[in-house]
Amino acid sequence: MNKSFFRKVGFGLGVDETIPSNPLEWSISQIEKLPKLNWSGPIYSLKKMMEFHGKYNYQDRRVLRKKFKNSRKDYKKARKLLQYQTGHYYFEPLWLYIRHNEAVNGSSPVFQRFLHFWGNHFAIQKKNAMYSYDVGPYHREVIAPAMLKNIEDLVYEVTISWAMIHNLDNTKSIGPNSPKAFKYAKRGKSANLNENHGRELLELHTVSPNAGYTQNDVIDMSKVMSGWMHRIPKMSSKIHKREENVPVHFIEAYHDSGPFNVLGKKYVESFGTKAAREMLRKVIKDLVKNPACIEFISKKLCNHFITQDPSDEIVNSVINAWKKSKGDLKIIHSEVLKQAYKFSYLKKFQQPETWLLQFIKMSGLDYFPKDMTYDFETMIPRDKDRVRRICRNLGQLPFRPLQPNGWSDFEEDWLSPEFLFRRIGILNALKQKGKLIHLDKSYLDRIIELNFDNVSEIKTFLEKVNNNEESVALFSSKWMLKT
Amino acid sequence: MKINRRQFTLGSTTLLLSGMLPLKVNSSMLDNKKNLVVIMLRGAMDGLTSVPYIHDNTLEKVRPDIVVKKLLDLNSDFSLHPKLSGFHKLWKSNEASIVHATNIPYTGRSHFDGQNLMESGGTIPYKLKTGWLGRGIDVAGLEGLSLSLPMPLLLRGKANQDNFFPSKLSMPTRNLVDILKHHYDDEPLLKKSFDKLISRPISMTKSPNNKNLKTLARIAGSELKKNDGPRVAVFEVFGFDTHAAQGGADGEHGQKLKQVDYTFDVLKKTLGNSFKNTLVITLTEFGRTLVQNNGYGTEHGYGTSILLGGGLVKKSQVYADWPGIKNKNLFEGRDLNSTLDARSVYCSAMSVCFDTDFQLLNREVFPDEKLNDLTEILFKV
Repeated sequence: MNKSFFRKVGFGLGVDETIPSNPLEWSISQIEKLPKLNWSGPIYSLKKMMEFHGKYNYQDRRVLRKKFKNSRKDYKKARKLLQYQTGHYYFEPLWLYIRHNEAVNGSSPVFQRFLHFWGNHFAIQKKNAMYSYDVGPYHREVIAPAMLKNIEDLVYEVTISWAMIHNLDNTKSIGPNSPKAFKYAKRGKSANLNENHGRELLELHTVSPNAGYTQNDVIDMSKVMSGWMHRIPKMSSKIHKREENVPVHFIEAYHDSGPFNVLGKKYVESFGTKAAREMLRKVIKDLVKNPACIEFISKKLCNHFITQDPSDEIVNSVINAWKKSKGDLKIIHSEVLKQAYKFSYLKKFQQPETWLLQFIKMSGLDYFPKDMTYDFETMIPRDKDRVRRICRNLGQLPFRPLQPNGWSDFEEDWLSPEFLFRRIGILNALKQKGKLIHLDKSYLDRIIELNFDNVSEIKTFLEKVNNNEESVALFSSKWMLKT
Repeated sequence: MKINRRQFTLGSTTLLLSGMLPLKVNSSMLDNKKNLVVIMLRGAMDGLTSVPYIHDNTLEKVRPDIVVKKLLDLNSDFSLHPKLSGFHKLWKSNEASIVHATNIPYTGRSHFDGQNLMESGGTIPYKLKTGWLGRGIDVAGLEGLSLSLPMPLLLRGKANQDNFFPSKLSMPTRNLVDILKHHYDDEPLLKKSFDKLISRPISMTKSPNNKNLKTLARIAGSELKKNDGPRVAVFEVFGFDTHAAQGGADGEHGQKLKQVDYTFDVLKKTLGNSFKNTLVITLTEFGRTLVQNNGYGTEHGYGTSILLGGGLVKKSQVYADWPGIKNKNLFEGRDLNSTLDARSVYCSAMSVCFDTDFQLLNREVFPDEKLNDLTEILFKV
């Protein structure tokens, strides 16, 4: 048995677990249904988070900046208080602890690994403090349920989600051939498209540049997307006091009436709101059938779970599963798992957060705070914010990638002197604080026997280590960094 | 076990020079050590916001809500964004210049393909696995340091480059370091990173708490200032992708330019006398559209500008074969055109800073490309 499979598609095995007799069945059973949350602490819905975020944006932009326009010091003080009241510093660590708890203590680590993958594929870049409020619930409420459907549903639901619409500025887009653009023209103003979302839908989320799309394809994709915006359709005279934090609607007045040409196919819109609204779904349906999309995402899945240079045999198996199942994500994920099992001897350098979670699960580290409640009045205590400091030190705050293409899957992007130092340095700091004291010889032996096949090689390696640094050595070893 | 940085630098430089050029390294060369600092501006810096064309009122017409006011004077055709006031001081003392209407030869408007090419120096995205600066460093046999947590593609080459970002963490005991050193033997990338890590100078093992760009610039300045320190440093500034709320002087783009400005400023102050032997240069993937969009932002474009500062700059000038910004002059009817391959500027910059022949660098770093030697036009040779 290749025990690295448990780390390849999950987070390894904890010392209280037993080795599953059928690893493949163990993994596939986890991706077939939405796992029940193991988290018993506070949790908030995306809807509630949009209220928090909306309050923060409105109060900050419309109230405090005006009220304290003559005193930057007073403004900063008032804003700090507002940040406490809206949980500005609280929610990101809360979401991280929930994410990490599901990975380490939840019933379906394999499902969580796929959720991490798709959350990164549909990354929300560091922008407008969305990482503070919205990204955690976006992963849980938008992406996770759609992972049990078809790829078309997943792409569509993410595309019209508030987080992505805001992230990629689609609300700023006006179809040049839309009622709103005509109104603008009458007033001598020009209305134009915002290409950001249309471009990234093609480039990052579906077909990739390998499809050979042109600037005209980007423009027409943006036209198809025009009208999807976070705006209340008929604004009442009463100000909603939530800025952009309102649900996404399709507003036909902003939608371009076409026709559209995307990747060589002409789309003509029939009359009526329903047809206009459904156009995006129609185009996405074709995009996810495009061979470039199938190959791009299949390869990305193999890069993430199996190895960064997968053979054609591996990628083609996933491609075939995609084609045969017409994009059924359970079948696609299941094929990825089969290939990961079959080729579990291939090595993959683990991203910092994945490595961290494997280390926490395997070592049984005392990591989660006893209580994650918050008073919404003061700064969040340090112990409740520890997760964020650790992730920052490792160079991967999962909810805030700096660019919309998310975090890389490639060793070259993660292996630098400083990145390597951070992993070893964190282990060293935990050891110095006595957090690894429970990892005595018998505990380490149990970890090794559960999670590695080269047991005697690892034990011989650890025998050379002095100063009670065996645990630091094990978790910074090449066998842990590359799985 | 620990390799002393001075020995390493001298060793590698001597080895290369003795093999390639009939020169000897002596103390006067070390005293005149030249430094190259590259600031990568991710997200596509708008050359028309940083260095607006003021010869006519086109910009005011097409960017009514985001045109920048209260500009700083450069010459009769161009002005400077007010957030670049530190850079403007350099301009006034003949230590800053601008190359305009330039870009890498990439017109695809994808950030990620564009950033890959601006760093690799190639023409096909993801084809080259090393960066032009890394390859240039290899040719010249030098050392580079990136002030970022990841190692940017730009600096990757055959040689062992370093990256650094402040933290409070520390290494384990020497016993474990020695064990790990051999443990990674059969993993080339791991080994390369670990070997570099354990040969760091003491000054880089003590970190300040603050990780902002000013602190990083200060660290870079003090490392570059040392005769036996690295000769190349790389920074990254994110967030130039202003599809919305690009704003005028105080908008999002202006705030990002402010960060670039104080990087120039802090480097000048920290480097002190060594600033006269330093070149600081910006790099971005492409420019932005001429016309503003509905979100008071701009879309992905083509031509942009490059900011150059430091004592190695020849004189204050805006160097450009200006294509114009009337409709008929625009690339694909929407973007400032590029009339100069930006790689000519970078290859020339390396030639000057690395004291290495331009043609050699062109051949080795940008093979199959015929770049223009701009060393005498842009730099003190």
